[in-house]
Formats: sequence, structure tokens, C-alpha cells
Amino acid sequence: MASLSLRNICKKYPNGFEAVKDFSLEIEDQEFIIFVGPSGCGKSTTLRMIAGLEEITSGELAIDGKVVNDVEPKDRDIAMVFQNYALYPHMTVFDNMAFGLKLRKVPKAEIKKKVEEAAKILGIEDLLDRKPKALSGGQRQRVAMGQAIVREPKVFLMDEPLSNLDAKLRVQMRSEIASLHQRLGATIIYVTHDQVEAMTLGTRIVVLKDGVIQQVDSPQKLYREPDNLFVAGFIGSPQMNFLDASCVVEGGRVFLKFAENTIALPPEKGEKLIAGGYGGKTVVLGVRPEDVDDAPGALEEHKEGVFCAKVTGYELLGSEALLYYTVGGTGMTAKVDASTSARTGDSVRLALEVGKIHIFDKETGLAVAH
Amino acid sequence: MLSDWKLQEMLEEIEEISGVGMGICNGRGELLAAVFTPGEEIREAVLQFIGSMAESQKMLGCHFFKIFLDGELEYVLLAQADGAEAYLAGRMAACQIRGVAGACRERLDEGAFLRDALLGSLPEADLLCRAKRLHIGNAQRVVFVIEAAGGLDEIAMETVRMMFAADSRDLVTELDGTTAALAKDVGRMKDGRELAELAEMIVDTLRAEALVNARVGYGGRAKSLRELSRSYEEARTALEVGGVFYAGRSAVSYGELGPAGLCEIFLREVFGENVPERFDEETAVTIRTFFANNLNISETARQLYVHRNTLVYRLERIERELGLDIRKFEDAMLFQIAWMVIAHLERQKAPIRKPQEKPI
Ligand SMILES: Nc1ncnc2c1ncn2[C@@H]1O[C@H](COP(=O)(O)OP(=O)(O)OP(=O)(O)O)[C@@H](O)[C@H]1O
Ligand SMILES: [Mg+2]
Repeated sequence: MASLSLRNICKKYPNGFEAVKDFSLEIEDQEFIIFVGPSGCGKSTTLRMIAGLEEITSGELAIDGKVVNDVEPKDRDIAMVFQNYALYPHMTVFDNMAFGLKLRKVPKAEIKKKVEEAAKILGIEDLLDRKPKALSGGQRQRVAMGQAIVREPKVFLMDEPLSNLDAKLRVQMRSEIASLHQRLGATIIYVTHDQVEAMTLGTRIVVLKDGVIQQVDSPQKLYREPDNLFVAGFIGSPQMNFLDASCVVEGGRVFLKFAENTIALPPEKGEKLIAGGYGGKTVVLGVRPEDVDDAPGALEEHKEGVFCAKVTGYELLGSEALLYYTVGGTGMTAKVDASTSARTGDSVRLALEVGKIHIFDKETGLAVAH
Repeated sequence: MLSDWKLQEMLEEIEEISGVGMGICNGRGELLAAVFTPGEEIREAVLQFIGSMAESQKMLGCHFFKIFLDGELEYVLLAQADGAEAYLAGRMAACQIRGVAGACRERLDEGAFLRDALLGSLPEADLLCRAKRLHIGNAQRVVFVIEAAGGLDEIAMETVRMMFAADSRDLVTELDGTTAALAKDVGRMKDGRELAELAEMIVDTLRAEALVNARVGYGGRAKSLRELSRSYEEARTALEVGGVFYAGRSAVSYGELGPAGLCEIFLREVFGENVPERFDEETAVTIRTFFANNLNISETARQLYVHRNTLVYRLERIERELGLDIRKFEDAMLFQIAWMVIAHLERQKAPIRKPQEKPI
């Protein structure tokens, strides 16, 4: 299989648009890596450059240590899977998977062996004689994967392969892809715009925005220690709340003031703010909805993080509920126990877990403390 | 012409049945497919054989057969081993390949027919006559033009053909090395969304199967073979214009581009996502008077009976809303044109206006 190395890769389209900027990344052999980001951030462009379908404007791409910028797609040993795949309607599943190999004049016996192996990996041995019409959505998707697997590529490039499936099937196929990765032992680059999909699938996630890498980390790290405001807001659902707060240093302790409220920061966070020279300045406070609570126990436990808010909405999710509220005019969300008594219009006291809050530089958007 | 992979497939099957290994060359002696590796001396023998009068011959442990199509040498078949069975198997294979190649030539005719239909170069009577001979029926079709800057190789062309091989009403042809056309029967595809999905599917399938980056443009519906040329022109335009205005998209339809589509694109260029639909009376009068007075603030304020600061405030508000500062000549001009375009679109949406109603 293969390792990939992307060094300072840029893509400027003929119309002058810069879709990918200074993209550098090392991908290990057999890694399952995810590219995630909002629409238009350059995920597909990057993938197509790796495949050789799009010219690399500048920078270097190496597969297994060999620079392949000028190598034809067919000689790069990659296979791609997309969302809008076509199966040939008049061919059986076997022939659908075999067709690409036939076109490349692979001997028949070899084709048979490869198709059967792929079918086994995908668990579709029983479907080989069927026509696409007689397949379910998930089965078709598996055949499409099979078309790629039979080529035995070094690298699989998957561009939102599941986005045409309904929500339930998507969840199921996701876990299948994860286990497929194990069985194939292949390097897989998987593109999605869905952060939930990225978080459930990935061991390592590359977050992109406007063609620039924002952060490369494990799902846990992205969630707990986002490098900047964009990553903090993009990862996690419901979204992280952001609030402007002024940073006040008093008697060696650091406090954040917003609206009529003051919360005290734990020393390790406070020190970072002092060291960064944020005393007396405005910073952005980031709080995940799950780190805000209105239960009496929480108010007691997190005294230093208690603040006042006005409830503007309530949504029951099951065992939990979402509280929508405003603090000094800023709309925020909290994920609380469904037993909460707070309702729209109430003025309530909420506690945030100060140990888990994030603080960002207001100008640069970069994280100062987690 | 029969594709090499198809020939390869046939030779493998024939070997499976007869146990005889075979190879096939074109009329110039170039090897197209084989289940064994012929040596250099055999290649030379093939050229010699082509030059000879013989229709079949035995040399270097191989039987050689010529395969003619419409009186022209199309292929040379080689059958390994020199027993009587090898000769028999070779003759049968030659016969089989001639049959298949003949049928394939008909498909070629179909491609030529489609090319002529797209270019609109034939008189209607000829077109219909040829269609009848080729058993091409009438259907409602849409022409898709598929273009790959890097070229459409044989694998890409075969991929497109196979995608649409199931329905005999779908016609595919290669136009030149970088473009192909598909006339797709869309009788059952009522929704424009389905056409867009089909176009995306062609692009994605070419990327996945043939590793070719293509763009697709498609035209409006053609109700007859005659109208195919119009749909084709539209598909071409969609590709060209779409390449400028929707550079990021790999599939574009003519429907999105017609004059109305271009107007929308222009308005989005000027205003971004928030294209103003209508202005309140005060704003409309302010803008009209301001333009009538050559962007002169004092004169406009005087005519509107408002304080100069009020006018400046209004203009600033307009700037915030539109993203255009109409106090500057360039922005003012852009706004004038955009305003005319908006009025034009309005009129098209409601073609019958009551005479006393004035446009904004
Ligand atoms: N051929 C092209 N010419 C000009 N601009 C292009 C071209 N292809 C893509 N773009 C632009 O480059 C940007 C990145 O496109 P890309 O398709 O890589 O985004 P993406 O992250 O895959 O988005 P999505 O989630 O919508 O698929 C977009 O703004 C797009 O419009
Ligand atoms: Mg994309």
C-alpha cells in the first residue's frame, strides 16, 4: 500500500480562483484520513489533484516517496469512489465489477479471481448474478465500491460516496466503510462536508476552510482543543456558543465579564491569558452547549461559572433538552437534562464548567486557552 | 470498430472452448489482442501474409487467416498449433469475428448518423430515411456534450457507451478526440433534476472508471430527430458559457443560461446573494432624483425637500443594503444597468401589465 506526502500544494484555476492554498500533509500507509469542511473549501479539488485529474499549480505530491506531479492518473495506482456512481444497467453485478478490468485487457481468469475476492470482502457474493435494478441502495453502493476494489489500488479516494443515500443507510454504510478499511488494509482518503460523518469515521481529520488547512487532529482533539474559532464552531453539534467577554485581572486571578456577569477562570487558563497580555482586553469566550447546565447540583458545583440568562426557547430531545437563551443580546444554547423546569420567557441562572471553556483571540480567532 | 478489449474477450472465450490460442492484428499488421505472445518473427510473417494473395496460410506453427469486411482487409487472425483442429477453430473464429465486426460497423453507422443529425447538415428527408434504415425511432431526446480537455481515450468512450447500451433509443458518438455526444431518450425523465443528476453521473463515472476529468453541457428537449441539432447547439453553448460563469461546476444545462439565466448571474455578480426585488417608495424616489440630478447631492436634497444630511444618510443606508455606493460614478452606472435588468425580468415574469402601471 502507500504513503502520501503533500508539500505546499496550491491550486489556481484558469479563471484565477485559488481553491487550495499551501496544503501540506503527510498521510501514512494504511491510514484512514478524512477531509472535512464547508461547501467550496477545496476538498474535491485536493482529491482530484491527488488522483491526477486536476493539475497541481505548485507544490509537490509524492506517493510512496516518488514525486508524481507529472504522472498520468492511470499510472498513479489510485481508485476513486463518488456519490453519483453509475452501474451499467444491462450487466450483472459480476460484469459491472469486471468491466473496468476488461477494458484494461486483464486476463479473464484474473478478473474472475479479483471480482470474487472483492465480492467476498464486500459480502455480496450472492448478488453477482443480479442486475443493478434488483439491488437495494446499499447493495448498489457496495457494487460501486467493488468497482474500485477490484483494481487493487494503493490509495482509495472517496468523494462524499454516501451523500446520495438516505440518513439511515448512510449511518450503516459508514460503519461498513470503517470495517472495509480494516479488511483492505488500504490507504483511504475520505471527503465529506458533514462533520458528524467525519467525527464518527476518522482517526485523523483534516479541517479545511477557503482552501486552507485549519487543523489536523483526532476527533477528540478537534472537539476538545480546537485551534481556532472556525474549527470550534464547525465541529460539534449543536454548535459551540461564542460570546465577547472582557478579561479582567484582579489580585492575580483572571475573570471574564460579559453582560452583568463575571466568571472566574481556573488558574491554568488564567495564566495563559496573562502571559498573552489579554488583561483589560476583549476576548471571545467559547462554550459547548453540553458544558452549560441549569441543574441545582451544577449551580452549586460550578459556582465560579454561574451567570444569568433569558430563556427564548426549549426543545426536548429525549433524555436531554436544548435550552435557547440570550445573554446580553447574544443567542446561545445549552444541552440540559430533560427534567429542567426552565421555559421560554424565564430568567434563569446557568452554570458553565469553567474548566472546559475555550478562549480565543478576538482579532486573530486563534485559541488562547482550552 | 471493434474495441480491443472486446476482441481480447472473444479470443479468451474461443481458447476456452477450443483450446487453441489465438491472436489478432489489424490490416496494418499491428497486434490488437492475443492470448499468447507472438514472437518477432511472427509479426514479420503477418506483414508478408498481408502482402500475399493467400486467404489463409500456415507458417511458423501458426495458421493465418484474413478477415474481410465489405471487401477490405480488416483483420488477420493467428491460430497457434498446426493440427487440423487448430485450422478448424481458426476458421470458425474468423467467421465469428467477421460477424461481430459487421454488426459493430452498423453501430459505427449509428454514430455517423448522430453526428450528421447534430450538425444539422442533412436534408430532413435524408435524415429520416437513414434513421429508418438504422432502426432509429423517434423519441424525445436531450443532447449531452461531454468534453475532456485531456482527451477522451478508448476507455472513456467505452465507458460512456456502456452506460447507455441498455436503451436502443440512446445514441452515442465520438465527435473528436476530446468531445463526445449523447442523445439520451428522456421520455420518462420529466424532471429537470433527473437530467442534472444524469449529467453529474456521467462526470463521476468517467472520473471513477476512466480517470478522465470531463465537463458536461446539455441542451433542451428535442421532440424529433430534426431538433437534435438545436439541442446540440444549446449543449455546446452551455459548456462554453458555463465554463465562464459556473467555472466550478462540471455539469451545466442550457436552461440555466438562457437570457434569463444570464441576467440572474449578472445580478448575483452585482449584488451577491441579496438581489433587491423592489424598493420602498422613498428609496425609489431618492435614487431616481439623485440620478436625474447627475449625482449632485445638494441639488437632489433641494428637490426632495430634505436636509442634505438626511440624503447622505439615505444614500449610506442604500450602500449598506446593496453593497454599491451610488455616489461613485462606477457604482451608479452598475446600479443603473442592474436596475434595468431587474425591471426586464419583472416584465418577463408578468408579461401582461395594466397600461396605467409604470415600471419602477
Ligand atoms: N474548474 C474550476 N474553475 C474555477 N473554479 C473552480 C473550478 N472547480 C472548482 N472551483 C471552485 O473552487 C472551489 C473549491 O471547489 P471544490 O469542488 O474543491 O469544493 P468542495 O470542498 O469539494 O465543495 P463541496 O462540498 O461543495 O463539494 C469552489 O469555490 C469552486 O467553485
Ligand atoms: Mg466536493
